[in-house]
Amino acid sequence: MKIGLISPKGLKTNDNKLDQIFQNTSQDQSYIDSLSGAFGTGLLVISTLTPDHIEIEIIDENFDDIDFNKAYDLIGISVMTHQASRAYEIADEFRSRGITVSIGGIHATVLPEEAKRHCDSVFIGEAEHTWPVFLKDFKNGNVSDFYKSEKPVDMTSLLTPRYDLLKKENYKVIWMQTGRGCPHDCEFCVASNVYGHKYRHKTINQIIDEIKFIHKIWPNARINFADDNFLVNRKFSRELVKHLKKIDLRWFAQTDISIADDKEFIRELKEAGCTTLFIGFESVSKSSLSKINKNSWKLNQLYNYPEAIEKIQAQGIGIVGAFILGLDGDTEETFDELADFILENNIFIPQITVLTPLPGSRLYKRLKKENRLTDIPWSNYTFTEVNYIPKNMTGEDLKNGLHRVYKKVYSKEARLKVLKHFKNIFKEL
Amino acid sequence: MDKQLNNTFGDMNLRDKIIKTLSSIARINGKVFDENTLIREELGIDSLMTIEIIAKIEKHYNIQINEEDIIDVNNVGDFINIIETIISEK
Repeated sequence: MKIGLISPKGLKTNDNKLDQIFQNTSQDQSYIDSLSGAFGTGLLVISTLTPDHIEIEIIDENFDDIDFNKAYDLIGISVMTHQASRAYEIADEFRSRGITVSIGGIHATVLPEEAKRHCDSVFIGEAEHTWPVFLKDFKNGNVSDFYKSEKPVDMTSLLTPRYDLLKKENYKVIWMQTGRGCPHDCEFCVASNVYGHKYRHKTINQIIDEIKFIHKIWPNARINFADDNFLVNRKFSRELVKHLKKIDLRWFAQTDISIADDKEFIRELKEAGCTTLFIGFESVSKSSLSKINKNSWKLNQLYNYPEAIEKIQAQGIGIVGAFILGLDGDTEETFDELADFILENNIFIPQITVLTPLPGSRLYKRLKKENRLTDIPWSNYTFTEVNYIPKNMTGEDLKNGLHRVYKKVYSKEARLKVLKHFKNIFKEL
Repeated sequence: MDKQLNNTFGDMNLRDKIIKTLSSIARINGKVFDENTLIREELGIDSLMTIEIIAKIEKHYNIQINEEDIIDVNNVGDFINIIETIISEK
């Protein structure tokens, strides 16, 4: 028996003008590509739960074409929203050839009825408990329409994902998940609604074994920790960092701005091989930030942003700063305010996206209620397209504003200024 | 780091010293690469690590390296050549 597990192509901007601005001005294209072209571990995790006698082929469509004529017995597709249009095309093609298709992932979890129109079985939620049941049903010729996870997965029970099934030459950066869940309740986020607000994580032994396994395959790879908030459980992350220090490792992680309060810990992160931290600032507009969290957590951090950025970067850790344009408090002035903020604070890599109403988020529900969603394909959910009616400007204004900010913050002069800033920092360390 | 570099350099020649700096900052064993190795594609050294390497070399040799000249260099050999030229012209 042979299973094809597919990650469909996605997350390449359809905005050619923006792509051109970025290509012409940025020396950091490969860095951004490594963030956006991530191969999630979901398919590698379910591979560990697949009996040995079943042959598995992983297909990452960002690198490899799909051979629809190959003799697969079963196809599994993992889908996030930006991949959904393509995932459904793939599913329809295989089903037209009589092959059973299953779909899982965050998009299928939040829109299972939509996914079901293109496949035989949909996985709702984490698939660790349901994948083995599905395989048994498939063997018996009796698959169900939906396989719903009834309880959160105990991360300490997971085996090391099957990284060995990936084509080695395709990856320089490996994404690894140590935990799931985030306590922050950002309006635009869907992951915390699926994984929950409590951070569940693997054990330190599991994590270290997994890193060693990855390094056996890719000795020089940087590891990007995929957790939505890698350092949120400070007691656990302190302990983990002590162990990471003992390994020759370079890594990136996502966290929040509260890390800036702990200078000693930031220093330890650097010593443990942390090169960059992804931090969601979201906005520098008070009015826009006030609507993001129910408890105004990010709004309360706004006045600390410059000092916090300085504290983190002064230890030689670059910040990948995430900002969203098109929030309801944004106006025509927001674009220049944001560009100026990024330039003044020498943010290592600014990641600027357009507000995207992902299904499953509170934002999606609100904009739907306000009749502000536009009817476009999921392939436009690339975080650079406008998929809703902005409040204080037109969609065209928003796109033009985004281009303007990109031109400013990714100009050659701006990038060299950031590098000089870091050179001075490194000379002092 | 600088003290560390001084301690480990000993009698090494310049090329070896630069390779040592590269491997130390990138946390990669110096034995796994040579002068033809591609800095970004094979070693995964990004612009931040490149600038850290430049800063350490500038400090150690008391030289000035123009970031613009070095940030787009492709392989280890070209990187070393630029630094060797600056040091010899000092």
